[in-house]
Amino acid sequence: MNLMEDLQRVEEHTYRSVFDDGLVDLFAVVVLLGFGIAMVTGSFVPMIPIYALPFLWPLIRKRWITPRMGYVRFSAGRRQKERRAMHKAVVAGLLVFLAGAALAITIGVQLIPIRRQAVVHSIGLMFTLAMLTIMVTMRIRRFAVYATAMLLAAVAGVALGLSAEVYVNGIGAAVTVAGVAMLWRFARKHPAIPPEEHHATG
Amino acid sequence: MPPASEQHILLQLDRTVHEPARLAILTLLAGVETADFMFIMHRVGLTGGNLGAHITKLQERGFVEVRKEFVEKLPRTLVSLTESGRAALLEYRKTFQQVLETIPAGPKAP
Repeated sequence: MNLMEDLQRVEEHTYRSVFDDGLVDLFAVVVLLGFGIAMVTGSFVPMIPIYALPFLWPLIRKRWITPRMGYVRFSAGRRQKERRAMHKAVVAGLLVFLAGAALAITIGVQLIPIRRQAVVHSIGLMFTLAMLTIMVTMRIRRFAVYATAMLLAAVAGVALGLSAEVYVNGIGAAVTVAGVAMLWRFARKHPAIPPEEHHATG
Repeated sequence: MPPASEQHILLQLDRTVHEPARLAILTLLAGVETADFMFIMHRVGLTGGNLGAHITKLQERGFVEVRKEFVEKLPRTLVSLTESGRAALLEYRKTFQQVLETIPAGPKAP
């Protein structure tokens, strides 16, 4: 292995460690359970917190994560790669969402039951893609597990008639447990440092 | 200067880089643009005092650059690898690979 590959490996490893706090998982939970509960209740209200996520992310990282974990800035190349991947993910997510919505609105109701189910379960595919995107852009491997579970659940939903709200909420609950456990571990490993001690470490 | 024997290659290693804690710091910094004191402390697993001493040594050799800034009235010490530090790490790696080649893979049969 050459030096460049080794340095990239070090960078990857450090980059991955930045997301060991479980915050991404808990944000995914807000989206999953927002959709899941909205599907059960038929109300739009559970989805409202999703809109707060883009504002909460930098705020929580700045106020709670960085003071505990410390600050790191990655290379310009990585930051650019990250931005590009994020833009692609947003476009892909919107396309899947629009395609699903268009199918549901236009021909969904006229389809034979199994195809109608496929349209309903396209939400599973949307979440699978979103989780895979997180895995690829943020290099968080556990999101591959979440994505696989979501994909299998969506396939099972179509094949066995499993309700989409059941598995979306079920996987949401499982991710909650993982996220809370990681956040708990992070908080124990990185206790808050009082402002006066910042001078000692700085 | 006569060619170094296999064992003497070990003596060519830069001791500033060779010390495990400093090697860990340099390796970490090689993968990022900059990191603050606390991040390095957590990642490398050193106490504040120890880390400070190692950073000072690396700074004296010109391997790292230390910059202080204030973020909302709190001090933040940013450390980044210099070109000279990167070159030293590269040189260390090359030399250490030579050293590894001199170490037998397993004990010889009697």
